[in-house]
Amino acid sequence: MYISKVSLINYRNFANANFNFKKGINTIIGENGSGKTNVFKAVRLLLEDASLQYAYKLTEGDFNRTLDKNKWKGHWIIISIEFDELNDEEAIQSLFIHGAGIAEEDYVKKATYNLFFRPKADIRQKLSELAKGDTAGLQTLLDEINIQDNYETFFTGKSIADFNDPAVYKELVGDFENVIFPPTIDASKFGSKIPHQMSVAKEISFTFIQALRDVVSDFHNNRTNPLFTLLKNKSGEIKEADYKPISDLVNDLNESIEALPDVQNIRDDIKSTIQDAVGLTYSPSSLSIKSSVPDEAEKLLQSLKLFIGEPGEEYEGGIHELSLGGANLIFLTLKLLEFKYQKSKDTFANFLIIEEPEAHIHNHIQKALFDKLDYGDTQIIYSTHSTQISEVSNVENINILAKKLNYAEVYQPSTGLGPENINQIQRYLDAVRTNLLFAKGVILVEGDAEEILIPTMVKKAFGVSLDELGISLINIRSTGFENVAQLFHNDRIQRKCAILTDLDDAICDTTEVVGDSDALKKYKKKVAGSKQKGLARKVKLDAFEVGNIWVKAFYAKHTFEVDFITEGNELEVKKIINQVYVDQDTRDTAKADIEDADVSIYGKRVLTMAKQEGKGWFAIMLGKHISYKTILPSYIIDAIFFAKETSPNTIADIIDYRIKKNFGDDNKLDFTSCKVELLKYRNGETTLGDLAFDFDLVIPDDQILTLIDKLK
Amino acid sequence: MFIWEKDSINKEQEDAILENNSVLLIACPGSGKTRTLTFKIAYELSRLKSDKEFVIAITYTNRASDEIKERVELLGVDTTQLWIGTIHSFCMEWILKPYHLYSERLKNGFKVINSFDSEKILTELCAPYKKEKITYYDCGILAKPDGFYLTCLDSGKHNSLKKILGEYFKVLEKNRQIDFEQILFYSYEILKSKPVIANILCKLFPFVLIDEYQDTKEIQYHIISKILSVSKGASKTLIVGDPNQSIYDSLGGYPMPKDELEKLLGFELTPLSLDKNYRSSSAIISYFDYYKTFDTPIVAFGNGKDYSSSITFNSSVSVDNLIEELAQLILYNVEKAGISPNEICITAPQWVHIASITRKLIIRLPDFSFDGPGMAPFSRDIDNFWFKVSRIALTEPSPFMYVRRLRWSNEILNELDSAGVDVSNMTSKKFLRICNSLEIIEKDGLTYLRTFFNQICEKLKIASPNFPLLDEHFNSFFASSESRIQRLIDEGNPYIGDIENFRKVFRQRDGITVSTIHGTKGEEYDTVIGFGLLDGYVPHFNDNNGLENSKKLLYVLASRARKNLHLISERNRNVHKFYAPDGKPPTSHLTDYNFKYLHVL
Repeated sequence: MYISKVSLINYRNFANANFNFKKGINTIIGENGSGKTNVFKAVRLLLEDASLQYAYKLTEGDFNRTLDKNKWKGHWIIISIEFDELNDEEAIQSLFIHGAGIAEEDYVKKATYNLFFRPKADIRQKLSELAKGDTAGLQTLLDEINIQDNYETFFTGKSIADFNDPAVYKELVGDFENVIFPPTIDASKFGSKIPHQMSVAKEISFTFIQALRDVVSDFHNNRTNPLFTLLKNKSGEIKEADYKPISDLVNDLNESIEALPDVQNIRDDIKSTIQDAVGLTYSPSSLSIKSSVPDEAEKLLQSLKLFIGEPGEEYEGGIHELSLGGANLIFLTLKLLEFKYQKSKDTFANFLIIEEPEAHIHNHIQKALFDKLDYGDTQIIYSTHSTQISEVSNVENINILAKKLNYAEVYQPSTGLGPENINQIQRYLDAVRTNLLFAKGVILVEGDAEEILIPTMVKKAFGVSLDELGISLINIRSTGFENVAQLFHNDRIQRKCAILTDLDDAICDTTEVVGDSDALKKYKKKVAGSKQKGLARKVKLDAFEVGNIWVKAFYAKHTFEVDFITEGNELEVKKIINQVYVDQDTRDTAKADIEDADVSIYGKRVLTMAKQEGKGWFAIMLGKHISYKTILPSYIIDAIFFAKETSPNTIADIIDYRIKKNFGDDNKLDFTSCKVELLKYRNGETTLGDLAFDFDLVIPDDQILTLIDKLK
Repeated sequence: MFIWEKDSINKEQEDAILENNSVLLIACPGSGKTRTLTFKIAYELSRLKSDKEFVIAITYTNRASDEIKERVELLGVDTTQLWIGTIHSFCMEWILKPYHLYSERLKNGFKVINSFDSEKILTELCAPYKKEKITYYDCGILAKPDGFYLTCLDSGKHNSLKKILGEYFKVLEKNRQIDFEQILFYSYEILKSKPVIANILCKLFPFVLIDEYQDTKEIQYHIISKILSVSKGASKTLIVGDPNQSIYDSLGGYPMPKDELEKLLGFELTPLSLDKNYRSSSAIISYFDYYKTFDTPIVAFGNGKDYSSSITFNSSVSVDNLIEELAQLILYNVEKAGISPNEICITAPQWVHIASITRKLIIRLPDFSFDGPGMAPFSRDIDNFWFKVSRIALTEPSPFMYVRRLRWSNEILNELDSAGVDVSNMTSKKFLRICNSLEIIEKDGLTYLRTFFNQICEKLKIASPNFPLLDEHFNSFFASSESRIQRLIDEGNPYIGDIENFRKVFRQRDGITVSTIHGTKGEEYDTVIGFGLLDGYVPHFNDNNGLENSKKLLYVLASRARKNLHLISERNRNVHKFYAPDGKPPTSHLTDYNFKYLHVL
């Protein structure tokens, strides 16, 4: 049995979220504050024995923020867990199935277990008695509700409804807008009460390992020290006969210590000092020094301490002497052992939940650890923001959390994709990191030149890096963008994905003319062929984009290098001619070619140069000469602002950066009114259009105007 | 493993307990059946291999399950994995509550209608049929695997009754209620429609005990065997009872023959019997042996087997002198035979006879106390929620009562929970403490209870009108109690409404028991005095199988006695000038039985 689905409605930062899990290892990826801990909290409320009490202590603070300021009143929190692959033939599962299993005619395969935090029966009854549309009556009723008196926690099993469906929520909870509340609850959809004979948490083995933050102090605290828990478990099992010689030794030891002449001397000295000080009458009648090494198994075992040598060192030290990473590793190991002990007990399903195992564990250990963390019959779910760890997991076993204002969304990157497509993505993710699963926006590029130059150009032109903008630039190293781009879709990852590619339009007239040399004929043919391929690619990408608001392609008219010059960056290219060519004549021709206004000439030249050096090396050379003056090609700007919506503050920062750069070059420029307007813009008092007017007066040729023009 | 002292049980009992196969156990009266069952349950509990398994014991009455449970607990066995109760509670707990969602009729929730409300609805529905003399009492139904059957023997009324019951079911459905027969019917239906449920349940129940099988109905056999047959004998059962004591034929109860049972269960039953009677004297045993309808051996084995029993039969006393006759018999037994009044039982076939007799005897024998159902000032509707609360309200906290009250309190919390009240913060101890803390000074019993109930609601923050089930039960509890008190007052018991009379209901039984013959089932007394043994009552006048059923009733009646047995077929009841100048004649078996009764006491 494994957890196949977790649905969260109105719980903490989830207004309506749905996690899908598979057998084996699962990953929840998400940035900080996206709610990774809350998913686990929800699951623990239902499955962890020690957390069950908290299920009865939910408060208004547990409602999603979209329901704050008393909007929660009357609403339900729903946490629903679906299990798959049950076996009704196994006696050990019977009680669980009795309580939660969804009975098909003659078999049970799935089960559900739900927590409802809802208004008590009396409130629900009153709600159902309201006339349809009686908004005022509803408000009066809701106003009186408070959590302590009017809410209850209720567990059901066997439900088949999809709680994530807003229509289902209306049927179960009610329609607040039109004031329609159900008088009854259809158990065939929403499940029946969990029988009191059963506690789900006792049927399964569930271990939660929280994010490792301060492991050394956890080791020092008896309650949280995992070694103590393990020893305590075992101390009960020690046979008396086995322990007897030890306790005898301890007693002997205690006696020997007490008998040490020095100890006896101290005792006598204390005694005589007291007598000297207060006199015989007030002195204690007897006094002795006793050695108190514990002789009970439990206490003695707890005095055991772990001593560990770091890899490659001979010295064994206590936990506090270990490096932080080492201590974490040991902590994690002991918790895993605790899980193994628990697993062997009378339970039929094993769940291991690990929160951010990467915290403080070295990168290369992370991957090794999770490659090996496979207990066969155990489902493991961990949260992470480490690309190292997420690389280990299968794309089908990943849930991605995305933070939104007041709530979070969950994406499953492989929903609706066939095995072949999943395979493609998986191969790609294995090879190129899982960065794109973490990004807020993605730009896909086709080659090294773009991968090298675009980040530099953006940084120099805008003063902010792509990382700061939350954009991952991914080099596909081919034009097979669809393999990766298919991840971004309404059903899958709802994040923007811009595809940057070359249209490969011909840079010259490709009509063959009588008298063309063979070489020219060949060249023209090649250019024409590229053009054709480019058009075919566009047709394909156009079709791919249809109906998907998350993906859009942006084209360089010709080729990245050619368009780089077209956009006005011949200067940068000229600077590297001397590096590319040794022969002075060639250098001169090349210079003239680049300066030529005809794309068939500068285009051919720059492509020749790039080809000679290799596009990657050429880009690296060019990268050294990129400055704030380098003009970011327009289609790239479009791609950036498609991939990630940018806040006015970030745009203001970019503008501010360009003011500083321009002023640094020419301190006679007067930006006073520009700066005033910019401040207004930051505060939302003016528009980009008005801003453009002021800048046009001071720096009419700057590329910032292009940017403003695009964004306004 | 549960072990017992040597000699604490006899060989037959031990055999029944240790038998590994499923057993059909025929237990003659006084054979120590309850003791055997208690030990068997304790033994099976100790054999459970996992804490996910339950021992199930199905008894005929709630009282029997309480008693057995208490006795198992006294053996020092942990009973958390014992589930014991009537077949109706079994169906509710294990089939309807967890699986009602699979029934179209029940999926939107349901509650069990109490007998008072059900009577009210049926009485109203019968009103238009006055001409046909159809009353509530004709409306009996019997659930069978294939549907509901009318129990009314007058087939001329059937057409109208079908209409009435059709309406009745509609009303219930509208109110989302079900009645007792429907509990069985829907349970069976759910098991039938989803075979996997029986499969699940069977794995939870390695052992199922069925007590009093002779009073078990066809659909009940089917429900149990649907579950047990799945494991093809891996789950064991002990079916126990005495076909000679099958006295609920009119309600559909019958001892299913062994071969039929085996066919239904799909596995074999080992036949065993308990035939040593430890209860009665040889004289009594040889007397009631005559009424056997099934040939099962009985051997007198008790310490008192040689007691020189007085067995009398009086068919000459007139109904007018009945009280005096009963008084004389009581006085004889107490004063001459040295029998304790607590060990005397006066019994008659019908409730109406004993209700009035109790009150008259109180007047005739003021020095004795009597314990009879007619004296309870409120309805003992065990399924009424507020009746359950009244058990705590009317008993005092004491170490002796603690365990019992704790159990009651637990039952109440379970009921509250299923009524939709949030009791997550409540424990049975806490609830009991709240009950004990209420101080109500009130002489009138009903007012006392009403105040008590209201205060409980207040403490638990239950706004009663919002919980329809509690509200319905509340109203019917008081409506039926009021009408009962009024009737008792009319019959000459002006003080019946006193709180003291209320409290008496739950006191330890004290004094001479007055009960219907059906009510003495499973009980035993030194002296049993039976009256009203007249043709028309025993057997009931419209019983199709009267000859056999009346024999069984006499068997049960006579086998309750340890020492003395006094039978009375009083004259002049229902005198008809022409047809019955001396009133109803004695039950034919009594006159047919050529027994040498003692003539002079």
